[in-house]
Amino acid sequence: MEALSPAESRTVEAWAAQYPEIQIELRRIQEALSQYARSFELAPRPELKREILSKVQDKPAPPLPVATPTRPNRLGWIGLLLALLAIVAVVVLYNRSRQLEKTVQRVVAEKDSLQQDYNRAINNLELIQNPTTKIIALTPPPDDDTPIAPDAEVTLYWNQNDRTPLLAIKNLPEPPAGKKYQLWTIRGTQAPTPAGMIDFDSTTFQTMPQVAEVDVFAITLEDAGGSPVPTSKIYVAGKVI
Amino acid sequence: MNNQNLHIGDENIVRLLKSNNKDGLSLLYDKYAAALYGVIHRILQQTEAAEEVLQDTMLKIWNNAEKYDASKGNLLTWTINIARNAAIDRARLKSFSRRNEKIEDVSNQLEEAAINPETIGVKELMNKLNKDQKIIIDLIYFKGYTQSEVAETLEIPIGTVKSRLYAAINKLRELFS
Repeated sequence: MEALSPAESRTVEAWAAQYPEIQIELRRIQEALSQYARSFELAPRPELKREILSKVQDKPAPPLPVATPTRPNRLGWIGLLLALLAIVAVVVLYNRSRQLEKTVQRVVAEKDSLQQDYNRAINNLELIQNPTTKIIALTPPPDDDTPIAPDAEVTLYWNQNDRTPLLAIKNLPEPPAGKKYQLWTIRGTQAPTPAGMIDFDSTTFQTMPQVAEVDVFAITLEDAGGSPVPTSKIYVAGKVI
Repeated sequence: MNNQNLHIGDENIVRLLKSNNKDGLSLLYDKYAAALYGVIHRILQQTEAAEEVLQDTMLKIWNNAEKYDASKGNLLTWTINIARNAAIDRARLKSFSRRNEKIEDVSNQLEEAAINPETIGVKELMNKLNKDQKIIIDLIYFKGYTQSEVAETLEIPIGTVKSRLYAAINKLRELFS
């Protein structure tokens, strides 16, 4: 092959690539030539082997095919990392979504509560502003010389059509534990009728249950569960004018 | 040199070489160093240079073992080609003024060549290749001449070089295949 001109060499190489028989023939020629060359065998001096081999540097053993897949490994790690990130993201987003859901529920509940307060306030305002509504000041009975709370005062809005008394505590002593103020209605000379327990802690108006015909409203201090008949002195009372 | 290592199979030597085991190089040396050294010495005609080139050759074999492909030729051919190319390169480096070589020198070299008489087929070879064919093979194979350089050196037409080379290769094929 080396004896050919570059153009001839290219042609032979092209043929050899195309026809395996030519490749085989070239190989045979080469091997025949090397056999021929072997006929000139000449033993080098014996020490030369050791001299030559001592100059050959050790090479590291080639890596085993099994130990090579660093790239797939790396991709594997990246994949694992992405998967973990995705899981973390899902958990975070799920928790966030749960929190938001709870917040929405809470806000809706607050909104409902405020809506009720608002409606009540509007109702109360309408009742108060209604020209047919009477404003009754409940105060200690004038015939009581030793009132329990001389400065006690409760305002009661009363509408004959609506018949649900609306209370606003202006001044009442704090009830002792286990006791609550109770509203009564009195008609003429009849015995007082229970008209509901009063929430002392309420800071705004409180609407009482609907009542029947009434001449006088009165408030006493009773056991927290309420009483069918008054057991204490009247703290405050007021006439329906 | 004549120990049992001569009978180690090429495939075992190649396997050791490819796994960077120096024993492979040692076995290869035992088996083929004489052949390689013979070729190198034939080209350079000088012991010191031939020994250096043999060392270069062994290093090249060691460093390029992973490139050896048994399907493209046997181990002897591959290593001899490495040795031959290294020796021819060295010869050129020393500014072998080969264009000035006379045909007489070439034939003299051929006659003087230290042929190993124990090599099988040498006698038949020498009988079957005529002198002209031997010179052609010698120039091309051992000196790396191109056909036109051979024609120039021997002062014969290139067509004659081609036909003598063809005849010589055919003889070699018959002898060694």
